[in-house]
This record gives sequence, structure tokens and C-alpha cells, in this order.
Amino acid sequence: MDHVWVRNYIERYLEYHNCLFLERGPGHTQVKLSVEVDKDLTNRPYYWTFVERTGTEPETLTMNFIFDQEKVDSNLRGEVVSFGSERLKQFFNAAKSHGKAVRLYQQSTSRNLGYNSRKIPHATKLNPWIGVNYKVELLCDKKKDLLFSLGMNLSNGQLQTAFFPKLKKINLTPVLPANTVTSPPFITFREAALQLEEYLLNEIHNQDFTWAIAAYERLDQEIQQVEAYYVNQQKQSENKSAVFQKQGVVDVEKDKRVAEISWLYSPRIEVKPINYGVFYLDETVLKNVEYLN
Amino acid sequence: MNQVLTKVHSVNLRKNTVPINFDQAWIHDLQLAFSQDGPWDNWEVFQLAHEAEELLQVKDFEQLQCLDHLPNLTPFPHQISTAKRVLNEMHGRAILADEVGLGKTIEAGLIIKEYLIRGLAKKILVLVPASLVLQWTRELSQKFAIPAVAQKKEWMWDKYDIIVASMDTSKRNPHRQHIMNQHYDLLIVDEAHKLKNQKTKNWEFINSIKKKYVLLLTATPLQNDITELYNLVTILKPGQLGRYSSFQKEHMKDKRSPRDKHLLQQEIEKVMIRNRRSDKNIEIDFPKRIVHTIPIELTPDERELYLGITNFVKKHYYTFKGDIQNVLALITLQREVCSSRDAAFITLINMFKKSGGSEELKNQILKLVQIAKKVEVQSKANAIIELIKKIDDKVIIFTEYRATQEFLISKLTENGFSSVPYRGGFNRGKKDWMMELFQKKKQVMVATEAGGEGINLQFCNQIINYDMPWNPMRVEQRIGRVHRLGQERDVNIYNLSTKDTIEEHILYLLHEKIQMFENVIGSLETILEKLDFSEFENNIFELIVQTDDQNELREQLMQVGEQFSKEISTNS
Repeated sequence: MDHVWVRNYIERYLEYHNCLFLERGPGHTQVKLSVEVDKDLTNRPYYWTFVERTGTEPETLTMNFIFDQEKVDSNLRGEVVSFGSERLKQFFNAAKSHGKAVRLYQQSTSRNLGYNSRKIPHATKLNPWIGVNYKVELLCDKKKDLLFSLGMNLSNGQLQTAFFPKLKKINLTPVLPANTVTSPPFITFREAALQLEEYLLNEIHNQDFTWAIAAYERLDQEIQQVEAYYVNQQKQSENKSAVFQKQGVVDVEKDKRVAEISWLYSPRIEVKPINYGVFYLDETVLKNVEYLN
Repeated sequence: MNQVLTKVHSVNLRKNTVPINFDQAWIHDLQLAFSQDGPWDNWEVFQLAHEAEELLQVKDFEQLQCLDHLPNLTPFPHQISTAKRVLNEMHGRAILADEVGLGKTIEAGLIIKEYLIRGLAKKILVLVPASLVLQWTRELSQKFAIPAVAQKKEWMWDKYDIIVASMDTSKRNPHRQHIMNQHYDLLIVDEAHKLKNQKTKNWEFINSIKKKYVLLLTATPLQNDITELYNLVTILKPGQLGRYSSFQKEHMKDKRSPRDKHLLQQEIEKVMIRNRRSDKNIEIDFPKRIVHTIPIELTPDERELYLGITNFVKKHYYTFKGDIQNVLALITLQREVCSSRDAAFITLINMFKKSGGSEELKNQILKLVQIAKKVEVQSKANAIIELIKKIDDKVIIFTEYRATQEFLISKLTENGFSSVPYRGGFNRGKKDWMMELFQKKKQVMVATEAGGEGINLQFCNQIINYDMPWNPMRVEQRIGRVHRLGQERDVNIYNLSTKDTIEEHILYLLHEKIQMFENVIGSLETILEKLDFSEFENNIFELIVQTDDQNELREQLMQVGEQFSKEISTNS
């Protein structure tokens, strides 16, 4: 199961970045990387500087990714990629940095169009939406993530939850389609962001906070232990009367430890966008999105 | 350009607040891209980014985040729940005391990885027996993708964050000094039962190390000596069980028995996890042991040598009794003659050299040497060739004697079987190499050293005991190299037994009797470790020497067997 997911993910990434697939076996894929992917994955900064300086034709690497070792010929030399491998993490990070901000238009279909009396189709009118995929991290010495996908209509302030899954069902294109007009945003991005954050704040306040209360209790216990430890150390060095650490030094060290512990254990919440975009959609598409596809 | 890049709110709890931080830097980036009409990212890649986040989402606080980061490992449920308990209930300070074969190393690895991923540990020290350093380093690296390094040079203490080192090396200077100067986030100690006594250097060393989280790994049950338990717990949580005097008063009736077993049990469970093979939640299917006894008929020449030596030994036992060296030589000789002519031969020569002035002694030894030289055919060796042909698979042959080992290797080569030696004297690197050769290329391993840990041969399921140690613990250790977690097949054990010799008695009465006991991986090894075998061999030898009548000898040995059976059941 896992290898299916990993393979699918990596092959899509490579495809969307115009890599050349040389060979596809039941357990592996051989691919010649595109320049961009090569730069991201293979860690050859000197080579690429060299290419730029001398203007030589770049030679990208070819890689063999192995997804299912059992289905691969034992002679095949390649790199096993699976959950937990560094390489997969690299792909994730590359996707996150190359998939941050989009601007897309709803693709027109003949269904949308109406005709005027001269049989010339009306222009499709699209409204701007802002969409943000948020990650809300509940943090202490443990963590929990909440994912939210929110959208806001910048013409009328209408808020939409579970925005992204709906968007995935719509035909979207990065190029303004023919015969389409867009209305300018009425609400600014900043104003919209504030509204989305209000929504999130509300959602957060509705959460159960026993985790945070428990975290504070653990923090207290840990600090007590540290305090006890340093008192003990002090006693021991007094007993030994050998090297007597100055009170100041011990305190500094202790304070440092307490600060470290407080930082690690103190409950806090971080709200971050995963990615975001501007989406031009017509008035009805979101209502009808269930019927698409 | 006065941007608000973050915004802070908070949630008010009764006594504290939880700050909420909103990252807002993206708003400006979006505005910029929008006003400049780009650059925009690809929609498909945008979706890939979101999918990655969905995959990596930590859905609940108690979830082990590390499970998504293990390249080659699917842990057993009991291992996962152990890791969770240590993290969530015991706050990273615990004794892992699973029975042998349940994968304590894996549990430790999960805990290390989880702390690493959560950012709760950066500087980690793993102290293990010297023979296990490489193995630990490899396992952590391959199964958990933990960048652990085996400590070799002094400069490594400060340079590397995650170090695996030998306990014995570490507690001595200059290494000790480096360790004392660090603050470790996590300390792992394998074979922690060595810390059971507060007065030892080991205990004092571990106790002095500055550490936040501690894991003590041990296979011994610890229920037999409460003071030992107290000492271990004190390392984890100084003060947890109170001062020793009050602990003693409150919990202990005498050194071994608690006042209230349940109460003590409760206290212990707060800091110790002990999974047992018999637990219902253990999903591991343990393979069986199948013991085959191969009786060997001695040739007339071999029989002559055996009798000659046995008589010699009996005759001189009382003469040598005061002299430990010589008595040992006698015992060895008696056992070697059942192993191989070569082994006996060498001991005889040595005895001859050390025989001092006694002419009579010298002559007797010479006579035995002559008889030994006459032995051409070695029945056991022939039998083993036939056996290996029949087995037609990888085999480990165990012998006590180096001379036998060398003889076997050449005999195997003569008969077209590829083999590798394995000895205690090999250094770590050579041991690893021999193991790898055995695994990948050669059919037979002839080993004298079995007691050393670090030799894992679960890929092999055929053992031949060419000669039998008289100490059941040693036998169990041999078998334990193969019959352990990771072994997928039933283990076949072939015991060669020379008929009408002392070996036959020993084999039948002692070993098979004890073997019949529990047929489960490793439990015997742990139990046997607790029994005292130091006088054992001497006692058996005296019995042999004193008892002429074979039947009476059998009786006596049977009693010894009974006694040990009893001790085993009390200790399991």
C-alpha cells in the first residue's frame, strides 16, 4: 500500500517538473531529471555554478528510484524510497517550496454560457476568491495538528470551509480563458486574511484544552526536578569541600535549564499557511460542485 | 512597509494562558505576486504540497510521530505500546525489562526516534557492552534512520550528538571526563542489571551523568532482589522511592521478599515495563526447538584412547587434588577425549612438558600419546560429514576446543564444504566479517565462542553440538544465537553423543532433562544466568572420578539434574 502512495507521489512530482521517464518496472522507475529537479535533489551547487559561469550545456543526472524492493531485479542499482527515507522528505520539501502560491481561473464550459440576441456568447464573469490551507499546531512536549482549508469570496465576504477539496473538483487553468472577465476584489487580501483568522480563532477556542493544562502540570514537575537536582548538587559540593562552584555559576546554569524546559513544555499554538492562492470562480460553481465530475 | 508579520492572541486557562501565534508574512507575498502578475506556482505541485502535509499530519497527541519515519521497520504492537507508555506515562525515565526475544532494542529505538522528531532530545548517549557497539549503531541507523555513531576516538565525544559507546571504556578517563562535561538529553544503558549495586563504579558513573531522560534496559526480572530494584529506580528518579532506610522499612520484609507484593508491584509499574512472552498481546510466533541425538560408536582405537585417558584421570585426580592447575587439566582431558583426538593430544603434550621430575608420570603420558597417534578414523568427524550432507543447508558447529575447531575446518575442506571459523579471540571487525561470510557465502561456521553477545545468526536454523559443555548455561547460550527473535524457522539441534562415555551421561541426564523444560526462546538463558554454576563442573567431575559403577554414576547425575530442574522452576 505504502509503496503505491510513494510511487504515485514521486512520479507525479517528476512529471509535473518535466523529467524524462526512461524506464518503468513493477518496482522501480528510471528517470532523467530536469534541470530544476536536479538542482533541488542532487546537491551539486558547484556544478551548477560552473554551468552558469561557463555557459556549458548542463548534464542532469539520471536516477533509479526503487519503490518495491521485492519486485526489482537484484542486479538493479538504485535508491530505495519509502516512508521515512530522507529522499522522500526532500520531495516533500521541494513540493512545499514550489507549490506555495497559485492564481487560477475556472475553465469555462459551454454549459455556463448564455447567448445574447445576436447569438454571441455572454462573457463568463468570474469572482475572485482567496483560498488558504492552514495548519494549526497545538504544541507542548507533544503535538497535534489541525488542518483547515478556507476560502473567502473577495466580492462579498462569503466564507467557505473545506475549500480545497471543492476546488479539486473544478477545472482550473492558470491562463485567463477566452471570453472571460474577472471582477476586481472588493475586499483586500489583508482584510480577508483577518476574517479567516477570526474563524480559526473561534475554532481554536472551541477546542478541548486539557492537553494544555496537563502540559503545564508536567512543566511544573520538570522544573521541580531540576530545582531539586541543583540543590542536591550544591549539597554534594559543599560536602566534598573540594571545588566549590560559585553560587552564581550554578544559578546561571540552572536558569538556562529551566528556560530550556519551559520553552519545550509550555503549551502554545502556531497557525501557519501551508499554501494559498487566488481563485476566479463563477457564482454558482461552489454550490454545484457536488455535481461536477 | 510597516508589516505586521505575526499576530498574537491567547487562550485563557484558569491558571495560565496559551499563546496563539498567527504567521502573516504570506499576506505580503501574495499581494506582491498579485500585483506583479506572478510568478505563480504550478497547481499540481500545489496539490502535492498539500498532500504531503496531510500525510504528515499528527492527528493526536498520543500518536507516535516516528512511525511515519521508519524506513525498514514494522514494529510489533507491544513495542509500540511500550514506547507510548514510556513517553506519555513515564516521561522518558523507565526500565525496559522485557523477556529475552521481545525486542527491547526496537523499543529503545522507537523512543529515541520519537524524542528526536519532537525536538525533545538532541544529545543522546547509548552505553552498551563492547561487543554490541557496532550492532547497536547499525540497528539505529538502518532501522530508524538515526544518525548514530560508534565511539572510537576521543574527539568524537564533543563532535557527535548521538553516540554509541562501550560502558567499560566510557567509565574510564579520558572518556569519563568528556561525558561528565556534557548534558545529555537522553541516556540509554543496555545490560543495566550491572547497575544493581550502588557501591559499584558502574552505578556511581551512571548516576553522575547529567541526563534528562533515561532508559535502562535489562532482561532479568529483578523481582528476586528488591535492593537491586531500588538501586535501579534511584538512577531514574532520585527520591522516587524515598530514602533507602524508609523504603526498607516500608516495603521489605527481608532482602528478597516484599511486605506487600501488590503494593510494591504498583510502585514498580510506575517506572518499569516488562512484557512477557506469555502475554496475550504478544503477536510473535516463536519457532520450536527440535533436538536430535546422534549416537556415535567409537572405533576400537578411539575406545582404547578413551579408556586409557579415563583411567589416567581417575588415578591422578587424588594425586593432583591440591594442585588446581593440574586438576583442571584432568577435567579438560576427560572432556576433550570425547571431542577430538587432536584436542586431547595437545593437552597431553602440555602435561608432559609440565610433568616435572616424575618419570612414571612422563611414561604414562607417553603411552597415552602413542595410543592417540594410533587413532586414524575419527568417528564423530565422519558422522558430521554425513550429517551436513543430509542437512544440505547452512550449519553452525559448536565445539569447546580450538584444536577440534582447526581439525574440523580442514576435514570440512577435504570433503568439499566451505567453512569459516569463529573465536572469542577475534576482534570486532573480524567477528563481523566472519559472520558476513557465513551469511553470504560459506555453508558452515565452526565456532568456539558462543557466550559473546553480538553474534546473531537467525538466518541459520541448524546447530551441531560437536561436543557438549558440561555447563547447561553454555549450551543455552549456543542455542540462543540462533533461536531468537528474528528466527523464522524451527531450530534443529544435533547433539553428537559418544556411546558409553561420560559425554553420553552428561548429555542425556543433564541437558535433555533441562531442555525439556521450556521450549520457548531464551527464557532458559535468563534463568540459567541466575543460577550458580561455578562449582558445577568440579562437582560433576568428582562424581565421575569417585564412582566406578556406571549405574550409580547415572543415579548421581540424575539427582544433580533433578536439583537443577527444581531451581529452574523456582526462578522462572
